[in-house]
Amino acid sequence: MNPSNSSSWVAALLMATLSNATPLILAAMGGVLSERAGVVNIALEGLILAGAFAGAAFGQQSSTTGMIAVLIVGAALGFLHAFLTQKAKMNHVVSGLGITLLVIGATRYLNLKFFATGLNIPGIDKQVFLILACIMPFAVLFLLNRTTFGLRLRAVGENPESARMTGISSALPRYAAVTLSGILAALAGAYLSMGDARTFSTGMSSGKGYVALAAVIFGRWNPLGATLGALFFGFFFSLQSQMQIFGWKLNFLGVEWTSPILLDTLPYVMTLIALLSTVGRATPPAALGKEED
Amino acid sequence: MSYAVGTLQLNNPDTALIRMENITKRFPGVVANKGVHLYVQPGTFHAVIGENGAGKSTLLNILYGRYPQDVGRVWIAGEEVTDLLHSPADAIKRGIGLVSQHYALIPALSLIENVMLGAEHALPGGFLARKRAEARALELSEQLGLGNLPFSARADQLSVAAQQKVEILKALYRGAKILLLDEPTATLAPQEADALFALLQTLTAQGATIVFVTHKLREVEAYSHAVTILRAGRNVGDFITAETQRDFLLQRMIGTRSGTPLNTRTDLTGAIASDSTYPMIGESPFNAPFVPQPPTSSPLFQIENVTILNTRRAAAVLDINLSIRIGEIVGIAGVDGSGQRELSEAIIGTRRIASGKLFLSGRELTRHNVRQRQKLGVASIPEDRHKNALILDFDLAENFLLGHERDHSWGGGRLINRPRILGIVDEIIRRYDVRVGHHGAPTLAQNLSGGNQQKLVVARAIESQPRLLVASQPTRGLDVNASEFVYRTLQGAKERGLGVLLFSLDLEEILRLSDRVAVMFNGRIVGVLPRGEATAERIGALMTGADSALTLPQGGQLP
Amino acid sequence: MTGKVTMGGSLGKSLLSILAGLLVAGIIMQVSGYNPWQAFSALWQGATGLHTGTAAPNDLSLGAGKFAIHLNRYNLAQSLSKMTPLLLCGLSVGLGLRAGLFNIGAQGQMLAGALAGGCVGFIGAPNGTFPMVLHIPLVLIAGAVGGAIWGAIPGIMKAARGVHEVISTIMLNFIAINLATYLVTHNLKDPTPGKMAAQTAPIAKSAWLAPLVPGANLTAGLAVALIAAIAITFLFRRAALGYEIRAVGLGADAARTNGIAVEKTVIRTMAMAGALAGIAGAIEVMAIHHRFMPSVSANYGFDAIAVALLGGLNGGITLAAFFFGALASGANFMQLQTQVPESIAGIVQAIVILFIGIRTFKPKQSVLVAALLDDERRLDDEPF
Repeated sequence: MNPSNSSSWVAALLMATLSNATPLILAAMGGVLSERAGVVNIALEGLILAGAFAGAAFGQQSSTTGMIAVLIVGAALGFLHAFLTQKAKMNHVVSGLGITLLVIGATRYLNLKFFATGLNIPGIDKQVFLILACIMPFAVLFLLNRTTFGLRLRAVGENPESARMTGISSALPRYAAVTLSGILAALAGAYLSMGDARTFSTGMSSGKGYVALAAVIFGRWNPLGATLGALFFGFFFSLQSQMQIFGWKLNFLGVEWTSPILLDTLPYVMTLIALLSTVGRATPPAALGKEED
Repeated sequence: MSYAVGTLQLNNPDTALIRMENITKRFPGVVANKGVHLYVQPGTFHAVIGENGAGKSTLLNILYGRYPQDVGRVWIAGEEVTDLLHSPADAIKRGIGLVSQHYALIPALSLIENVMLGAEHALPGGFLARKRAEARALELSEQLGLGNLPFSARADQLSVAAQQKVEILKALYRGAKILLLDEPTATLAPQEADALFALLQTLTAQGATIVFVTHKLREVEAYSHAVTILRAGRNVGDFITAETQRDFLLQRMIGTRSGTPLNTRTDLTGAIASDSTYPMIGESPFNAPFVPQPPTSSPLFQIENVTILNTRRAAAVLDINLSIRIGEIVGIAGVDGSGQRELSEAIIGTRRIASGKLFLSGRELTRHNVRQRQKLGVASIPEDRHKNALILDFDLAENFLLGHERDHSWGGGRLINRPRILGIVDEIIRRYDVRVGHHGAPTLAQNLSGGNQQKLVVARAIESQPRLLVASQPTRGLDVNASEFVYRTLQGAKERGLGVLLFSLDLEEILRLSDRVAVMFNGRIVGVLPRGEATAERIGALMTGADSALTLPQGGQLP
Repeated sequence: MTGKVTMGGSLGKSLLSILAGLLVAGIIMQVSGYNPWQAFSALWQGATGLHTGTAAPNDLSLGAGKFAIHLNRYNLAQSLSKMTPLLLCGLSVGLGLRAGLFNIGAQGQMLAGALAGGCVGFIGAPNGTFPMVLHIPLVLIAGAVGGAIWGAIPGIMKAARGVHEVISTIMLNFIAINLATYLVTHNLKDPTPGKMAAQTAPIAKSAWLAPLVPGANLTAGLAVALIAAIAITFLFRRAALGYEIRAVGLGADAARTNGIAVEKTVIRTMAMAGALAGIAGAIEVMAIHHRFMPSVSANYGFDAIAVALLGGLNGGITLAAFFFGALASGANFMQLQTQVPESIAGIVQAIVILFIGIRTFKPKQSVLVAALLDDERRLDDEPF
C-alpha cells in the first residue's frame, strides 16, 4: 500500500465507507419503517446483535441455514417489540432497551456456553449485503409512498385515531412495520458476523444500532436521507482502519490524534454533531412514541 | 325544505333510515346515554341538539361504530346491526360518513392521500392508484360545486373550513348516503358556516340523509327538518322543526335549572350581570388588600408592530398593533389558523417575537421570559388546559402552586410549605365551588371534570392579582354552568381594573364579553370594532377576509 | 420522544417482575443442563451470605445444630459493595426519569467522575501528604464535578436542540470509554517500569477508603450512597427544585406556560444526575481499584436503568439497588460454585425491565371522558 498513490487510497476509503455503511443502511431502513409507523425503535442495537449471533451460530455448516435463522430471529424480536409497545402498552424506550439488554445477556451467555473455544464460519460474500443495502432505500421509499401498506403505515404513524375513523386498525401496519424492521436490523447484524468478521464476538454491534437511529433522525425519517446519514457515519467508522492501513500519523500538542483509540470515537462524535445540526428543523411523525390509546 | 309540515313521519320506525332504540352507554364515572331512541327518516336533515355533556357526540359515535353501545339496538336501512364489535369500517360499508372536528384529516398527508386512506382500491400488488383516485375525487368535487382542489397539497395547508369540505368529499368518495356531522360549525366564521350549509343542502337534494349535532339553535331553525333534543343523557323530545319555537327548544334543552336565567342564553349581545356571589379578589385567601388600578389614559398593554414566525419560518402574525386599556375586555376573533394561537403564546411568553415590541404599563416586556412577565402582572388561562394549564398527574394543591412555586405567600419558596398550600387550596375550593369529591385538595387533577378543572385554572390566574389576563378559548368543552362562571369571572376582572385579552374561535362568546373586538385574518388585524358596531355579520366578513372595506384603521388610532 | 415513564408501581408488580426474571433464568439453566436448584442456592448464598450447613471461620451464626443459620460476612459485604455504585447510578437514572429524561449515560458519567476523582486523588501520591479527612471529600467533589460536566453535555444538547438524550448519552458513553482507554495507555499511563496494564499509577494512600470487612470491597462509600438517597428523597418531597423537575417530567408544556424554565431544569437535572454517577466513579476508585482504569464503571450504567425502573419513586431505589447488587455478586459466587455463567444475571435484569414496563392501562378519568364524549359532562348532574 503506497501512501503516495492517491487514487488507491481514495478508492480504498470509498470501499471501506461502503462496507461500514452497509449494516448502518440496513438497520436505518428498519428504523425508518418502524418510526414512520409511530414506534420508537431503540431495540435496533439488540436486533443487530441478535442477527449477528443467529447468523454465526446457525451458519457454521451452511450459510443458508444461517440466513434463515437471521430472518426468523429478527422477525421474532421485532414482533416482540411490537407486541410489547402495542398490546402491553409499554413505553417504547423501555421496551427497546429491555430487548437490547436481553439480547446482550443472552448472546453473552450462549456464546460462552457453546462457542467458548471460538467460532469460525464460512460466511457470505460482502457483495450480497452491499447489493441489498443499495436496493433497500429505494424499496422502502417505494413501499412508503406508492403502496397501500405504506400509506396506511404513514397514516398510523401520524394520527392513529384519525386512521381508525377511516376504518383502518393501527395494529396491523405497526406490527408489520416493526417486524420488518427487526428483519432488516438482523440482516445488518448478519453482515457483521457472516459478511465481515466471519465469527461472533460479544458486543460486536458496538453501538451501530444507535448510530443507525441517529441516521434516521438526521435523514428526517426519509429512507434516502437516512441512507445519506448512514454513509456519512460509515465514512467515520472506516477512517480508523484506513488510517492504520496507510500508516498515517498525526501527533500534535502531545496527543497522538491518529491513535486508533481516538479515531474510534469519531463516528460517535460525528453522530452528536450531526444531531445538533438538524434537530429543530425536522419534525418526526406526529404519533411517534405516543402511548395513549 | 322538501317536506311539507305534516308529511314527515317523525318517529315511524318502519320508514326510518336510521333507527336507534333504548341506547345506553356508560363510561367510567358517567352514563353518557340513558335509554335513548333516535329515528332519522331518509332524505332529511335531522338535528340533534343539547348542551355540552348531554350525550350527543356519544350517540353519533355509537352510530359510527367508534364504540359499541352497552344496551340497545340499531337498524340501518331496515337491517339490524347485530355485530356489537361494529367498527367504523362497518359503518363506512353501510354508507355512513362522519365529519368530526377532532378526527379530521391527517395534517402531514396530502389531500388525495387523506381521501384515499382506507378506500384505496389499490392495483394488484398493493400499488396505489393515485391518478385514478384523483380523477374520481375531482369528479365528485365538481358535482358538489367545490371546483378544483389542490390534491397534492398537504392537508394542513388548507383552512379549517376547506378541510371540512374535503372531509365531506372523503365520505362521499366512499359512497356515503348518510352523513353524520358533529358540531361542524364550532370554529367556523358565519360565512363559512353558510357555505357549509349550502353544500349540505345540495347533498340532501341529491338524496343524502344528514344527522347534525349542534348546540346552536339558529342553525337548527334555519336548516333542519326534524330535531331531537338530548338532555343529561336522555332523549327529551323529537319534533318537526317547522312546528316548534326556539324558546321551546331552548327550554327543553336546558330544563329548569336554577341560577341560569333564560335570557342570558338566547341572544348574542345581551349584557351579562356580574354575579354578586363572585369571590372578590380583595378578599383573597392571601389576605393582601386589593388595590384598585388608578384610571389612566395610557394603555395598559401595547402590542407594537409585532411579527411572529411559525415553525416553518412563515409569518404567523404580521406587523400588528393593538392596545388594551385598564378595565376593558378586548376580544380577538378569527378562524383557526389566523394567528390567534401564536399571538396569545407570544404575549404569555412561550413564543418568541421576531420583531416588534410589547409593553405593559409602559414597561417593555418583549424579551422577558414567562416568569418575569408573571411577576409583572401577566396571568393566563391557557388554551388547552390538559396540556398547558394543568398537570393531570399532580394533585390540586400542586397544580394551584404551578407558577408560584417560589412564592412565599402561596406556600412556595426554596422549600415548599405543603400544609400552607393545602390550606389555601381548600379555601379556594370552597370559595369557587370546585367539585372535587371526598378528598379535597390532594385529589389528582385528572379526576375532576373539565369544568371544575377550568375553575381551578381561572382561580389560579385571578388570585395572582394580575394586571393583564390572557384568556384563550376559555370555555372550550365546558357546559353552561362552567361557561357562565368563566364569563362572570372575566366580567368581574374587568370591573376591578384588569385588562383582559380574550382569544376565542366562538363568536358568540366574543360578542357577549368584549368591549372591543379585534379581528385577525391571515396573521393581520383586519379590523377593530367597538361594542356597538360589532355584529356577527361584520366580524364574520372580516374573519374570512371578505370585507376589508369595513375595517377601521389598524391599531394605534382607536376611538 | 420518551414521554412519561411509569416507574415501579406497586410493590406487588416489582416482586412479580423479579419472580418472572428468576423464573426465566431457572428455565434457561434447566435447558442448558445445569441444576437450577443448586444454582439458585449458590446464588442466594453469594447474594446474602446466608446459608445453612457448616459455618466458615468468620461467619456469624444464629441458632444451633441443624437449624443454625450462618451469615458469611464476606458475601454480604460484596453484595453491599456492589450496591453502592448501583444505588448512586440508580439515583442518577431515576432523577433523570423524574424529569422525563432517559439517562443511559451513567457509565460515561461514572468514568468522568472516576477520572476527575482519580486526578485529585493523585495529589501527594504515593503515601499521601493530605489528611484523609480532607482528601476524601475533595475526591468526592471532584468526582461530582467530572460527572456533572459529562451529564450536562447531553442536557444542553437536549435543551438547546432537542437532541434525544438516549442517543446522545449512549454516544457519550462510547466516547468516554475510548478517551479513558487512550489516557491510560498514553498520558496517564502508570510510569512504573514493567507495568503494562492499561491503568494509572495508584492514588495517594490518603485517598484510600478502608474496607469494612476484611478482604471485601465494602467501604464507607455505602454511607455516601445512602446519604445521597436521602438527599434525593428530600429534594422531591420538600424542595421547590424537586417540584419543578417533577412538573417538567409530568407536564412540560404546562410547566413552561406557567413560567418554569424547562430548558434550564433539564440541564440542571442532567448535571445532577451526572454528578451522582460521578461520585459513584470516585468511590470505586477510592475503595476498590485505588487507581483509574476504563473498567471502573463496568456495567453499572446499564444495570442502573434496571435499578431505577424497578425502584420507581420514593425509597424503592435503595431496595432495588440492593437486589441487583446482591444478584450480581450472587451470580459471581454461583459461577465459581456451579459453573453457571454469571451473564445469566444480565438476562434476569432484562426480563425484570420488560415486566416492569408492562402497564395495566387505566385511562385517566376526565381525559377519557372529555375525549370520548368530545364534550363536557358534569359529574354532579341533576336527575331528569
